[in-house]
Amino acid sequence: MTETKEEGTNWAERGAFWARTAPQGLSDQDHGNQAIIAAAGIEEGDHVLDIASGAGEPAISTAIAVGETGSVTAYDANPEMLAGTRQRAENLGLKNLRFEIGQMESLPFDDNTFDAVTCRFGIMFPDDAVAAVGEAVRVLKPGGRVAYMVHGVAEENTLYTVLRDTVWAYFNEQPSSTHNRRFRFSKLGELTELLTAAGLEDIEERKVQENQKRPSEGRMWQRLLDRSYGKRLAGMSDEQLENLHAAIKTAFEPYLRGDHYELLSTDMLGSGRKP
Amino acid sequence: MTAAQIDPKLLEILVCPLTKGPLKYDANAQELISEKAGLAYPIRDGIPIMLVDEARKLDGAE
Repeated sequence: MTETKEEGTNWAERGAFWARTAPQGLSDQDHGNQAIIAAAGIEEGDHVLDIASGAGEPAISTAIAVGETGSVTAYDANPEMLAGTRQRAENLGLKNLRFEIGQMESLPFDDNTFDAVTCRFGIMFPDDAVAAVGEAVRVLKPGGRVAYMVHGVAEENTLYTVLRDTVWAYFNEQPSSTHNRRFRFSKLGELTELLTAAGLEDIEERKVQENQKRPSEGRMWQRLLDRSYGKRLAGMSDEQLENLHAAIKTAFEPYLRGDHYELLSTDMLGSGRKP
Repeated sequence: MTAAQIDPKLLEILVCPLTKGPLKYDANAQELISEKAGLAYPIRDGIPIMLVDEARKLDGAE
């Protein structure tokens, strides 16, 4: 397998980064979360499984959507990740979230348990993605929907692409195959193929695009930088870091619109119904 | 102590990730036991860790 990640595959370390950099309460990525909630047909009172919850997208938004009579089970392979989600839930006073650690390829839930299943930025990781979707289908109630969100193509994700190119240029490195997995299923039709292979029907797939506004003050790229390249940054001197940030700031200048940046963000959203 | 308690509703829907068989909750040891798999999954800070790598092998299990 051509397994690679931006840097290192140590999710425990990355989890700590993510937890530290997650929003304290409500999501700043709610646009995508609401699209997932709609695609999965989630309604008040539903019991939802969120796979690869990470730092809480879309688990937190979903917990609000299903209300007190519903529930969200936030599931991730990494305890450090879920610690961030739990803190956010506590900050918001949400009591309808549960937490569990495990692999998405072997879910520890009974058949036909959940009204809906969601997964944002997770299904590109397992080697056998069809089997992982199959597990989600198994725990889903018949007639329930599962929705997956993945990253759209790199060229349509300004924040990611500009940052990536600048960091690589700074380290004088060539783009590697490192990023293949991040963009697995990024082309229209690839999620449909996956969901069809897993036996789902009534499949829908679409682009979720947004011109995200980010403040020109401060370093709006800091979180993605930490999450993607944190380990490498840890070995840099203050002066080197300043230089890197200066280079990044220059690279984003073309996207300045008055007091904010405007950055194209593109995700793919695929969903299907269990027969 | 309540903070570390496992959600009882979660217990109802949990199965062993390996065998998909039932789990027995050991409140004292804070473990979820899969007799069929011969494994005890730990519960840490109220969160079940359903990873085979993290599970304790039961006595007598192969």
